Amino acid sequence: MWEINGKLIKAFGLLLSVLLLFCYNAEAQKVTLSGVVKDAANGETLLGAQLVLFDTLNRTEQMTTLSNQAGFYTITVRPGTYVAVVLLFGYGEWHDTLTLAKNRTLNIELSHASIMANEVVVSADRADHNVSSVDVGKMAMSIETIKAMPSLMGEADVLKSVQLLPGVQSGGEGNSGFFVRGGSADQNLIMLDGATIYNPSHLFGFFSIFNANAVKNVEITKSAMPAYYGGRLASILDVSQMDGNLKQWQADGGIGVIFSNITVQGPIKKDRCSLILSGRRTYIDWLVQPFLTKESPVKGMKFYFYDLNGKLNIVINDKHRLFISGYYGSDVYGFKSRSGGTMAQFQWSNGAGTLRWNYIISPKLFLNTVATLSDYQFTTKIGMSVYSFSIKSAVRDYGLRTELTYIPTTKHNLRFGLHYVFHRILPNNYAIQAGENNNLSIPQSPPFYAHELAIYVNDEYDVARWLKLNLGLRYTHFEHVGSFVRYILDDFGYVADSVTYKPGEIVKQYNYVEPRIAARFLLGKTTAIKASYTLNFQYLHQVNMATISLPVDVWMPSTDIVKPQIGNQVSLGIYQNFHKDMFEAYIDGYYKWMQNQVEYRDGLDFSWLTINPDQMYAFGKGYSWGVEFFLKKNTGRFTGFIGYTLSYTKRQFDALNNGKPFYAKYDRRHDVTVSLNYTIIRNKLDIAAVWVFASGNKMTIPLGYYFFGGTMMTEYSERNAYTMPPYHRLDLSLTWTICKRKHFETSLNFSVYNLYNQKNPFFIFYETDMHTLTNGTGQMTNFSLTTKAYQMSLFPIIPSITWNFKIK
Amino acid sequence: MNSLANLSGRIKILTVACVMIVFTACEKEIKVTLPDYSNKVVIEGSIENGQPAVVMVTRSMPYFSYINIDTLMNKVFINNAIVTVTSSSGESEQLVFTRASDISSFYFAYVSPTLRGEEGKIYTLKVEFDGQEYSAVTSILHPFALDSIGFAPFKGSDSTLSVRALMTDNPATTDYYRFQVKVRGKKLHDRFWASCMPVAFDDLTFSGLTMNVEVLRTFPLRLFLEDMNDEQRKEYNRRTYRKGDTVYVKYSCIDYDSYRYWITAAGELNGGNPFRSPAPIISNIKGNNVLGAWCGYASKIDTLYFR
Repeated sequence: MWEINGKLIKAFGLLLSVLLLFCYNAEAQKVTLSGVVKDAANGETLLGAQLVLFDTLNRTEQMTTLSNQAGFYTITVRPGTYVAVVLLFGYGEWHDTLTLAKNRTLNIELSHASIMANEVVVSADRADHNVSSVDVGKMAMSIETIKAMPSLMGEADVLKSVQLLPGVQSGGEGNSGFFVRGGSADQNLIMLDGATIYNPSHLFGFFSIFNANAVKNVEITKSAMPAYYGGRLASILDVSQMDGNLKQWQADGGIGVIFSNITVQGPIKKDRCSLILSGRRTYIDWLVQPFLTKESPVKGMKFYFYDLNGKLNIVINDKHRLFISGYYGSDVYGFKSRSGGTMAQFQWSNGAGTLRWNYIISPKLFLNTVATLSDYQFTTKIGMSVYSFSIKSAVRDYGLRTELTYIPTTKHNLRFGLHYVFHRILPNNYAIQAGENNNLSIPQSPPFYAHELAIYVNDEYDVARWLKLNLGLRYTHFEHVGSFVRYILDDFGYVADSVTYKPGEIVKQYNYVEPRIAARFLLGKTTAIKASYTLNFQYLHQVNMATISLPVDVWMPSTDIVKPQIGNQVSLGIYQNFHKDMFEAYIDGYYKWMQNQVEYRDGLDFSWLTINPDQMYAFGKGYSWGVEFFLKKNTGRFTGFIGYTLSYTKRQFDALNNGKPFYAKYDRRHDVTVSLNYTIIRNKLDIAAVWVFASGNKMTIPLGYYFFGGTMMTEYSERNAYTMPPYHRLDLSLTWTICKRKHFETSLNFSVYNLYNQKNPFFIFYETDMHTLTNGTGQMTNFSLTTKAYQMSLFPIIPSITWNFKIK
Repeated sequence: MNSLANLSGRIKILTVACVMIVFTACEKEIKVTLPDYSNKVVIEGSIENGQPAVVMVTRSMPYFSYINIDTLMNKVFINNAIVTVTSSSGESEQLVFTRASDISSFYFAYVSPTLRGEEGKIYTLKVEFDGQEYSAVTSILHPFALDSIGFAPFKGSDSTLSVRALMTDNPATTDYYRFQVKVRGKKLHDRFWASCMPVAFDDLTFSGLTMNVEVLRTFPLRLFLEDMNDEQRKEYNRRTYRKGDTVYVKYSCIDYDSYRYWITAAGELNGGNPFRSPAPIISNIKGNNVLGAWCGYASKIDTLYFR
């Protein structure tokens, strides 16, 4: 096992210094070109722009670099004259001839492709990112693509769009949880500007918290996770907020069926400091209330959610840049019966705050330091008669991450970093009132405290033209600390004794080293083979109690009982571009094996209120394997992609299903996505369609019934032994740009969700029809009993219309 | 407290209810193909201080199978089993298959002709049927006394009342309790005891303390009920007591195995809900392909008159 000792730490240090030395033997006579790539229209920094240098004397082959999340790029070459080309999808090609005699800083501004006179010119003789890169499992989605997709109620949804990618499965309607390559929903790290989001759902998962108008980039990494990412087994979803327009003030907005939103952004000082504020809220509660009669059960119901995003971007000088960003969003749903006897309220909120400092130390050195705050709270209150009952669950994280990017030559891209988080996690805090004179003594359920630290080094190493490697090593340390009371249980599961830990006292420590390796072998110019192996550890867990994912599913840190989840993944794929990169395609297979997976124990009784919450869990193994097929058309009036995933996901827990392996609930044999966009009239009329097909989720079904205790009882199948009917749906959207002037733009979006009105299964339920006839003496004279299965479907065909505007 | 089991079920239902109100949901009948099913033997047995042993032996049926009065009488009820109860003091008796009209059971049960339950004794049940043997052990502990019991106001209602019992737990022991209730009436179902909520509970949350138990009216049966109109159903399902009611409250101490059976079965007994993930019910009966439980009760009964 990778449990660490002193020797391993030394080895880690040694490896680090060797890597450094190795990179440092660069030849003396080299010059560095560096700078920041920005959007010419609003000054937003651009991620993933590709800079290619062609030597005019043809002494060397072309050289390539990519801009990072801060838009920063650097490339070191022999002095000389070069043709420089900068390419980024959706932007026009930028090119210039540069004479490089000494180090030079060059900030590059790219203009949107649509306002360029010419079509996008794809440079000859360059391998496209799909083939050339070594970031095997990383996929990016531009916010424009997301906005162009048809969506439920016309509200562009970042999370739902990401779920269309191969290997990323949606949890179904009413479930914002997603499943990456057989990993459970808690194995995805969701970040907004670097701060963790613990519950990305609104309205029990029908919408996500990401406001598409405030988002700049969305990136998901589902395999070959580089060492700078960690803490989760399955994927990293990295969402960046927009920085705000540095050039001019603008307001965008939309009025839709469910939401309305408004975004205001602009320079406080031109090219120096910008501010963006964005908000959206549902208003169905306001719209509906006046029309309700006094008797309506919905009268007085609270029902809304909202998001607020803000970011302040300060360009101190060419070297220093500061960002302060924040997010807060909340959901409130409440219900009260007319007599006042029954009430229920659900309320949850996510908050995230980030302070980021980017520092270009030298043309080859880039420092990124981020302080983050994450806050998640969930409260449920239920009242019935004299009883009232509430559960509170919360997570609060304070984090600091600092990372140095060092690009000594075009052959290496080194990243060293340190990431520390202090967690305060309250899995559940119960309060019960049962009227007066009651002495219910429910023990306190205090929060868990933990320190999580990671130190990593990652190198993207261009060994030869045909071989590129991504090598990484991540050391992680996790400490569950006091104050804490550990209960010791007897054979019946009752508390026999307890151990008390003082504040800060270590309850349990874990130390691991996670190796990460990915390789890209180029076969010719348009074909590559990519392989990877990664080992990940996950110290936070979310255990699902309900068959549909509800925010009541609480977070729990690793403790002496809950061991960190361990995930191994190997992947192998072939990547190919066709027709001068107009098409890109890949086939990628994976196998994952995971340990210390967590589920609730069967047959829990509620004596668990008196024990530690982690004493309610069962632990086991998980396996998943599959293969993904992907074909994408990048350019032309007709664009889009087709994805298909074949996958298997199994789990084995000694304490569940009699120890026999069972399919995970989200085991999904087939998953198909077709997403197409067509420009009918340029800059005027666009049409988009998405078709999805997914095999049904797994579930446990009733096999038999029997009579006991005066009722009909059910005998169930083995765990998840039944496959629900498949899910499929076609969505369509039409965007009509009514006017596009210099200072004012307006468009209408018509969306149709579930065009052919497919009745997809949300859940299956059973109804028993029983009739009895008796004579006067209680003697039964006739009897009949029959049970039928029904499927509940959520969304029929839903047309919607949204009006969007932009004022500059 | 065990009432949480029920509450958590309600949370899920309410959650979904909230969502449903806004979005139009739609349902349709579907065909679910089940794997082959082999019927199991179901044993429901109890013995109580001063009462005979009562054991029902039935068969389980495939989930979507239709049954009528013939299948019920000839296939569900098993009338040719040999059922024996032996006490820790050596008494042993074979139970007699009875068409029950005066006992708190369904239409047919095996009843001990002379043997009566006694405090502090252990009882072994043996059922032989179709070449198979099933056995179980339970005990009758000691009954406990309530500090007080009486009618109490019910929130949200002026004319009807609830019943509150005050009990003090013995801190020296871990105890398991069941409360059952019935209201005097002329109907068949009025003969049956109904489980209060929670179905069973332990003393962990009030060990050595005084606890207020709300004994609301519940309906004893979901089976073999004659069709009712809305008015009758409302009356049958009412939770509170009203003027003229004679209320019997039975409170019992049970052993750990009985308690564990009742709480693991509680979700099913309450009718379940579509979002509950089914959990195995832990039976105390040994044998192949068998379901059910054999429970001993140390009980007292109080009678309350709402005048």
